[in-house]
This record gives sequence, structure tokens and C-alpha cells, in this order.
Amino acid sequence: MSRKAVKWLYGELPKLVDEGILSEENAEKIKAYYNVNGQKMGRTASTFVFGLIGAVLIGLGIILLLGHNWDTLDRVSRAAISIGILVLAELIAGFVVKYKMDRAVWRESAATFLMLALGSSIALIGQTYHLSDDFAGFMYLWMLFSIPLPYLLRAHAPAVMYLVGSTVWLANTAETNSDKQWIWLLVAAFLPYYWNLLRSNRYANAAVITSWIFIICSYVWCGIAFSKYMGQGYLLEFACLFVITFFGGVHWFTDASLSVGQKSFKIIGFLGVVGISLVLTTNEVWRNLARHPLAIDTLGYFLLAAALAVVIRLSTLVVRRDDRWMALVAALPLLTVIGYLMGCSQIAISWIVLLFNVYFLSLSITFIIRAIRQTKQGELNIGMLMLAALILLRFFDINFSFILRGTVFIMLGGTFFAANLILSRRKKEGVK
Amino acid sequence: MREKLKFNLFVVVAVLQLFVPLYMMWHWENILTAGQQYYWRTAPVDPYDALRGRYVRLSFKEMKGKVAPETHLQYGQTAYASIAADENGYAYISLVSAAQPETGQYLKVKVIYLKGDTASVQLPFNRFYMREDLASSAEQAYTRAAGKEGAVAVRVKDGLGVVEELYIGDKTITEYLRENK
Repeated sequence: MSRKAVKWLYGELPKLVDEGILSEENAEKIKAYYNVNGQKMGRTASTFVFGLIGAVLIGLGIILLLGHNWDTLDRVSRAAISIGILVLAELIAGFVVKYKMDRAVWRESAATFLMLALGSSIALIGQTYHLSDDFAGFMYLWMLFSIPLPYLLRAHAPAVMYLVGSTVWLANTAETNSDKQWIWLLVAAFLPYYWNLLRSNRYANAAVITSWIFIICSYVWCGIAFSKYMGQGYLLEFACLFVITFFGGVHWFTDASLSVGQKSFKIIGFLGVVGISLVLTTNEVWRNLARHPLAIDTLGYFLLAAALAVVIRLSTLVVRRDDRWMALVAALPLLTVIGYLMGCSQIAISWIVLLFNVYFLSLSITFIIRAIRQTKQGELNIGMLMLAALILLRFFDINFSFILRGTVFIMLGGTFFAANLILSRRKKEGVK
Repeated sequence: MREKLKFNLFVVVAVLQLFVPLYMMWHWENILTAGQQYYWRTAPVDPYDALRGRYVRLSFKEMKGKVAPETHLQYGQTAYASIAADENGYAYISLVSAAQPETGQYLKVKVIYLKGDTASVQLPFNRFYMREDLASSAEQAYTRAAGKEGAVAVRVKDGLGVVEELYIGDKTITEYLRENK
């Protein structure tokens, strides 16, 4: 249980005793239980963090020491060091698998050290034989042979390193398009681990951190690996991806008391939806799109159709009839398709731009109304910021006079104040 | 039972992991001992590689050759460069072909430029790793000697090449730096 929750529980206990729901004795027992557990958790967490940092620092230190490139060492001693470090790390990890699997700090540190040792061992061979610049090849080999570690040692730090490493490989590989698809092998090797993590406790720290990194990395994978197939379809691709992420968050992370960190899918998905909608309101994007004929590969069309199908399926699960805002979010990919179709026909671009401006305006206003109804001040301000962003963006596009600009800015600021004032009054009345 | 299986699986993984550097070592060591030696004239610069320390980036004078008759090469494709030595003992590319040559030594290269019947290629070796504090003085020494007396010894076998040593005149780069401190 989080510290915040324990504090809240402590506050509630006297009330429960007064009401006669709990006996004084039971209240004390509950207090003692959470106190002990709270302290235990704090100590484990700090041991855990310091253990892990220690393993990372030692591993990186070894890499740097080897990077000095000692010229007194001949090839045999370099080979011995390279293999020696790996063997040492494997012995430690083997010991942990056999005797210390119940201790998280051992598992994490040993697995992290082994992963770094493997990397430094491969790199040292490259140094010894003056191998040419093949950073991507090195990363792929390193990641491929590291993926068993999160599974066998139930270690999360190597899993995060693996996600980042795989993404770095994809970003650095200069190979052909078909070679880039090897990323899916790395991803497939990771998915069972991630699925297990979410299934066992999607709100635990390990799952939360992995989720944030996984979501961001998955956009990079789709962006780079599908770029050739998607062509100009990338806007629709990302509109679908963001909506899927957001709806995934709404559907699977339902606990109302979640902290900001635990809402990775919702937050990233929301920011993505708002960001791409805002991009679609600009003249420049559609003008670029209309300038060239719609170039999407057959496989691209197939992938987009699949993404749209997922959006529709998720929409049926999460969009309630009375929630207009969610319905508007679900409509984003569909509207993007309409935008593409309009762009292909002879319809003037300004109509498409108008369509998306009206869309974004509705998106912001329904979000604000929703926030007011639910008396959520934070969400109200986010809605106002969305509205402000749209207005500010239009000021760059269209040439308005300074008087008009000034007036609109002042009005915008005034609305901010007024809306917040009204909402906080409502809140107070609600409390009374 | 599960625990035992997990441990056994870990042993398998550990062996596979060990196999990676061991195989690489065997592979390159084999070329160093059994490959044919060539000297290649160079001109270096000195960048920094965070993972592998400092090295001298090698670029070579002889990086182009005649395209084999009736061969159509494309920019970026992998090709085979047949290697020969001139009267001074320095290596040069005698022919660039799309198919693997049946006789003589060759290198697997990437075509980077095509002009008429001549192809410029990227050789499969371009680094010489140095102790971090020596790399920059190595670079300076080598820039002075670039194109005149700089050369690397390369061992070539089965289309691959491993850099053995970096020379200025008849001295290795380490000897040269020691004498010219």
C-alpha cells in the first residue's frame, strides 16, 4: 500500500472506531500491521535501488576501463579478460538462480551485471580485432542474447535496458527495409514477459515503469519499421495508435485511485490524440499531403485497416452513449480517413482544414463541459489549454490585426479566470 | 522441479552467451593466422566511440577498381573486390565483380560510387583501436604521413579482412610514437 493510502487509512481509523464499526483493539492491530509493512517496504525499496545502481555502475565501469584500450595487453589476455568477465557474471547469476531467487535485489543486480558484461565482452572483441563500425550489428547481437535474462531471473532492469537497446538498434540500423522488420522478432521475444507483468499486477512499480517505456518505444518501432509501407499514411497510423493507447488505458486501467505514474496508457494516449489533432488543424500538413498523390503500399493499407478495426473494437468497449468526448476521440481516425479522401478528390484544402478545426474545437469544448460536470478543476484547465493552443496556432496561420489579437488574448485569459472561479465555487457548494 | 528446470535453462543460456564472443574470436583469429597479408596505404582521422574507446579511423588511397566486363553494379550493393599487390608490395583492387571470384584473394565490399567502368567501394575494415591517450597523437603523426608513408597490414581470407598493424614508414604506430614523443 502506498504511503498516501496508509496516511489516509490512519485518518479514517478514529472515525471508524467512533462509529462503532471497528473496535479500538482492531484499529490498533491495523495500525501496527501497516506501520510494520510500510517500514519494511521502504527498506526493501532502498536496498533494491542501491543494489541495482551498484550493479549498473560496476558494469559501466568495466566497459570504460576496457575502453582505455590497454596496449600492453596482447590478444590472448584481452580474450581472457573478455571471457573472464562474462564467466564471472554468469557464475553470479547462476548462484542467484539456484539460491537467491527469493531476493529481488540479487536477481536485479545479477541480471543487470550479466547483461552489461555480455555487451562489454562483445565490444572488447570488436576492439581487439579492429572490427569496422557495425554498431547496429553489435546491438542486435547483444539484445538477442540478453532477452532470456528477464524471464530466467525475473529481473525488470534488464527488460527495460532491452526495450531501449532494441529501439536504439532500430534507429541505428542502416539496413534495408526488410531487415528493419527483424525488430518484430525482438518485440515478440519481449511480449510474453510484459504480458505476465501486466497480468500479475499492472499497478506495481515494475509494470508501471516498463509500460511508460514500452509505449514510447512501440511508437518508434511502428514509425521506423512501417515507414516505407505507410508513406503518407503515417498521420492515420499515428492517429490510430494514439487512440488505441488511450482506449487501452481507459479499458484496462480502471482503478479510480490511480496515481499519475500509473496512468501511462491514458496519459500518453491523451497527449498523442490532442497533439495529432492539433497538427491536423494546420494548413501546411494537408497542403503537403495533397501535393503528392496518396502513396501507401498495399501492406500499408492492410496495416491501417487492421489498426482501424482495433480502434472500432475498443470504441465499442469504452465509449458510453452519454460520453460525447470519448465518442469524439473515437472519431479521430475516421475523420482522418475522410480528410485523406477529401485530399485525393478535388475539394479545396481549406475545407479539410475547417473540418479539423471544428473537430478540435468540439474536442476542447466537450472536454471542458465534461470537466465542469464532474467538477474536476485539473481537467478543466487542460481543456482550456487545448482551446488556447488552437486559438494561438490559428494566429500564426492567419494574418489578424494586432487589435483583434490583443482582444482575443485578453478574453482568453479572462475566460480562464472565470471558469476556474466558477468551478471552485461549485466545488465548495458541493462540499457544503 | 520448476526450479531445477529454470537452473538448467539458465545454464543453456549461459553457454549460448559464452558462445557469442568465443565464436567471434575464433572467426577473426582464424583470418589473422591463415589469411594472406597485404599492405594498404591509408589516411586517418580520429573520432570517439563511447563503447569501444578511441580508434583511428582509416581511409584508404586505393578504394576503386575496374568493374568486371558485362557486370551491372548498383549503388549500395555488396560486391567482390579482387586484391593484388603492386611492384612496391602495396595492395590495390584489380577488379570489382558482382559474383564471388573463384581464384585469388578478394574482399566483400559495398559499392559507394560508380563512374564509367570504375567502381569506388567501402572496404570492410575502417578502424584501428588505440590506447585512449595515444589516439590523438597517433592521428597527428598519421595526418603528417598521410598518403606518403602510412599503411596498414591487413590479413585477408574468404572475403573478410582483419587489420593487423598500422605503420608509418617501416615502424608500427606505437614504436613511431615512442620515438617521436
